Formats: sequence, C-alpha cells, structure tokens
Amino acid sequence: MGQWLRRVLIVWLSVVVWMLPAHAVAPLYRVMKSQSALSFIGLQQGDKFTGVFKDFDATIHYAATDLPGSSLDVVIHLPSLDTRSLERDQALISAEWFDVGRFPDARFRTVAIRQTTSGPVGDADLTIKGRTKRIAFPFVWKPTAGGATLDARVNLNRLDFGLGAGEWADAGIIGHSVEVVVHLVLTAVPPVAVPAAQPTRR
Amino acid sequence: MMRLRSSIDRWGLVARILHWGMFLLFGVTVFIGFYMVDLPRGFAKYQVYSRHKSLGITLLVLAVMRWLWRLIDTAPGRPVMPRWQSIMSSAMVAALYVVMLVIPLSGWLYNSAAGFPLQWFGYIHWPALLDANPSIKVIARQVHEAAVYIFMGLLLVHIAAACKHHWVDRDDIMRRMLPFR
Repeated sequence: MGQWLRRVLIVWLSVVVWMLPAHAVAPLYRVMKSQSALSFIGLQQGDKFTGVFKDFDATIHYAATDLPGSSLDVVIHLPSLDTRSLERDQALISAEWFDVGRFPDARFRTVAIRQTTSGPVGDADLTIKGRTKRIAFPFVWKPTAGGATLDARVNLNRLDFGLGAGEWADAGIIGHSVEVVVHLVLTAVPPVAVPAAQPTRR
Repeated sequence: MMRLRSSIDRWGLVARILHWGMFLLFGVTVFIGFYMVDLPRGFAKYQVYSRHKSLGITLLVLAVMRWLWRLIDTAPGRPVMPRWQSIMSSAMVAALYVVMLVIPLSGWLYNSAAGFPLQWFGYIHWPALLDANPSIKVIARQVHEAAVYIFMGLLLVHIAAACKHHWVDRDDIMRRMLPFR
C-alpha cells in the first residue's frame, strides 16, 4: 500500500469515527425519582450536613459499548433544595448562595464519556449560578432488570460557582469542598419513546 | 485572705465569681439575643448568632459548675427573718438555679432541632441533642424566650430583695455577695 493511499485511508477513517457519535445515540433511560437521590454533603462549622435536590430532570443515554453515543444531561431545580433546616435553606436560596431568583436551575451536561481503568468518566459542563466549569465525573453504571443504576460521588469547590463568596468565603464557617452524591435508579425507555430525548425544562 | 469556700458570714471567692461573672455574661448574651433576631439575613446575622450560642454554652457550663459548687460549698447562714421570707428566699434561689439551666438548655435544644451545628467560638465542636425536628424546634424556641422573661422577672425581685435587706433591714445579705468588701 502506498504512502498516499494510507494517508487517505487514515483521514477517511478518522472522519468516519468522528462523525459516528453525531448519528448513533445510545439507549435512553428515565429516572425513577422516588428511588433516586441527588444529594450533597457540606461542612458547616465543622459539622457535616446533607442536602437534597428533590426536583430534577435527567436525560440519560448510555451504553457501555457506545460511549460516544452516551450522554448525561441533568437539569436541577434549585428551589427544591432541602437541608433539613429552614434557616439554612432560606440562606442557600438567597443571593449570596444559589440566588435562585436569578438562577433557578443548575445544569450538568456531559460533552464526552470515556472509559478508564476504574470505569466510565464523564467530562461534563456544570453550570451553577451562571458559571460553567468543566468537571470530571467518574461514575458506576450497573445494569439491572429493565434498567440500570448510576452512582457517583464528586467533590466540588463552591467558590468555583460563586456560592457564598465575600464574607461567606471563610472555610471555617462553611467548608469550600462540597461532596455531591448521585444515586439514580433508571428504567430503560423502549426505542419508540425516543422523541422525549430533549431535556424537559419547566 | 481570699477564701474559695464560703464561710458562715461571707460567700467564698468561687461563689462570688460565678455569681457576678454569670450576671455580666447573662446580661451580654440576653442583650445580643434580643438584638440579633431582627437583623437582616446574612453573614453578620450568622456571626452574631454564633457568638450568642457560644456565650450560651459558656453559661450552661458555668451553670452546671455553679450547681455542683452549691452542693459542695456551704452557703452562709441566713439572718433571723420571718418564716415566709425564708421560704420565699429558698424558692427564689431554687427558681433562679432552675432557670439559669433551662435558658441555655432550651437554646441548645432549639439549635439542635433547627438542624444547626454548634461550635464554641469556632474551636470546640458541641454535639446536637437530637436530629432536626420542626415541632420540637417551635417548642424549644418558646421555652427559650419564656424562660428569659421569667428570668428577668425573677432577677428584678432578687435585686429588689437584696436592696431591701441592705437599706431597709440593714443586714449583711447583700454585702456578703459583693465582689469587694
């Protein structure tokens, strides 16, 4: 095979591989909300506290054999947060923290999912309070009868998203690192239901 | 010579320090308590609340120490007084001792039920009494407030009685608790 022919072949193959994800889409899953939880663990004055976002919408395409066609897209409705403390919840939705009046939703969207030795890792854009940060999102995907479960733990720095800046930036009062714990119970959606693939925003 | 323990005619150094120290600390803490509730939500309010809670924990520890010391120490004798005065005096002391515990305890309970952490001046972690609980939170707050009003009422009677002993009866009831002779 000549040098020229080989180059053409490589370019052609690259183009084909590059175009594949645009067409192939991995199977769609729907979240069983009653069994799933999107929670976070923060540190307040040395004490851990746990909060949950009760309301979120997720569009999940996933196949271990088709990572280019897989994607996770989650819209989190921030006013639904609950940290088991009325005072803390009121503070968290205020302008100094999530500022839900201006930014009612947060969004998590993978731009790519890659396979690593320890499992799949999503490279995702996380947008909170109008600020987008690219984060690595390692997760565990376990197929179940009729669906799957997705579990992940990822640490975020609240200051990256302007949460509690200024006076609240003191880590001794509210820790900078917040652990987000994701547990999604998913049911596979038959291919005929694919038109619902767009994330539903309310 | 400064005596730690009380004698027959004078409160000892420990009793006097606890008495006046807690008087000053209660004054500051209650003042902050009334001031802080109307502050606009934000960092300043959070900080003021934290200080109030830390002072409250300090008062709780002091109140427990005072109870223990009262059990160990021997209180000075009472001068001769009518029986009803003697009973009232004992009842007043008992009420003050109870309320000085109830105020910080109910505050601690309120904070726990509200699901808030507690750290003594940012240094020592103070455990919660129970998990977040909205109904106990409401009750604890009411007890906390009511106890403060009761305390202030008792304090007024206590001070009035001390003044009466000093200027009307001209006995040494007040003098033996004064910080200095």
